[in-house]
Amino acid sequence: MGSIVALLGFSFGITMTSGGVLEPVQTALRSWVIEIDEETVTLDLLLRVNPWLLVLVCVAAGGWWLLRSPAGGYQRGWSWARTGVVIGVIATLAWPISTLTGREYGLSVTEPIRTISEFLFTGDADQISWAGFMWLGIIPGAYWAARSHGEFAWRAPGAQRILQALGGGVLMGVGAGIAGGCNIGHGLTGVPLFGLSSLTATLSIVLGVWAGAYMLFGGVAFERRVRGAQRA
Amino acid sequence: MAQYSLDVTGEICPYPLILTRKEMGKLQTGDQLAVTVDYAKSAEDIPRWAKEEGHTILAVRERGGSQWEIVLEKA
Repeated sequence: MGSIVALLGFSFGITMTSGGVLEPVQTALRSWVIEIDEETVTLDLLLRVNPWLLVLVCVAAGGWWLLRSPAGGYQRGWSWARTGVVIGVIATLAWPISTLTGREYGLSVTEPIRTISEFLFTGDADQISWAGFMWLGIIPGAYWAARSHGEFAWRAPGAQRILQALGGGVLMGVGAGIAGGCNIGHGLTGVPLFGLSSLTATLSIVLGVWAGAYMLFGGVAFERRVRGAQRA
Repeated sequence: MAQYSLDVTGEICPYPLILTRKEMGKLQTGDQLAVTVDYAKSAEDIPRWAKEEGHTILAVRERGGSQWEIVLEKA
């Protein structure tokens, strides 16, 4: 229930920022645009290098880091490696499949939530694209995945946590509205394109999560007292 | 050695782990804590954290209905 409330808050936040009362904030913050040769700035354009060189560097550095990471030890379900590969394949396939419908972009969650929300409140279905149907597919897909692993259950936290979920959802929505995407649109679609805005947004999301965790939980969220000899 | 219990059902990530950390922080070496959790990710995170911290994982019991009991002994 907390996640559903967070989703509602997220939807409110996006709608308020994109066409709503907070639109001026979005407009003001987006008024400063950096371009190189009238093109959107990407890291390869900024560094004047072949983008495939950056891909090679990322694959080599990321692969080395992942190979050194613990296997996971998941009690059930897929390992992070299998899950990561599947998400990568889905994120890649999203491009050609979406393009077939006239939408040239990859995975996105902010855009479909905004368009579906607009449709529900105004009846305007024109903006609903491939991403809207993709997002609708996430719900039965997630349900099936959770159900098949015995993890599905209706859970309801206390009133305080529900309010926190609502507030957090609204903040996420406002942030995603201003940034023009969330960790999916920027992280899974924009970062692989080396978009400077997506790299900035993703880095800001990471810093925001750390700051939020520190504000909510203090040092408990960050304390590391790993005993080297006993670490697996 | 004393035995304690912590019910974090209904809580979602990261609260079960954070609340478990706080509770373990209050215990003495050798004390046991039985954590009841119904959030699958936390049922993985709590034993992993405990292992990293050097605590003993005495049991991870599936109770069905997406509920787990994790019994830890403080190092």
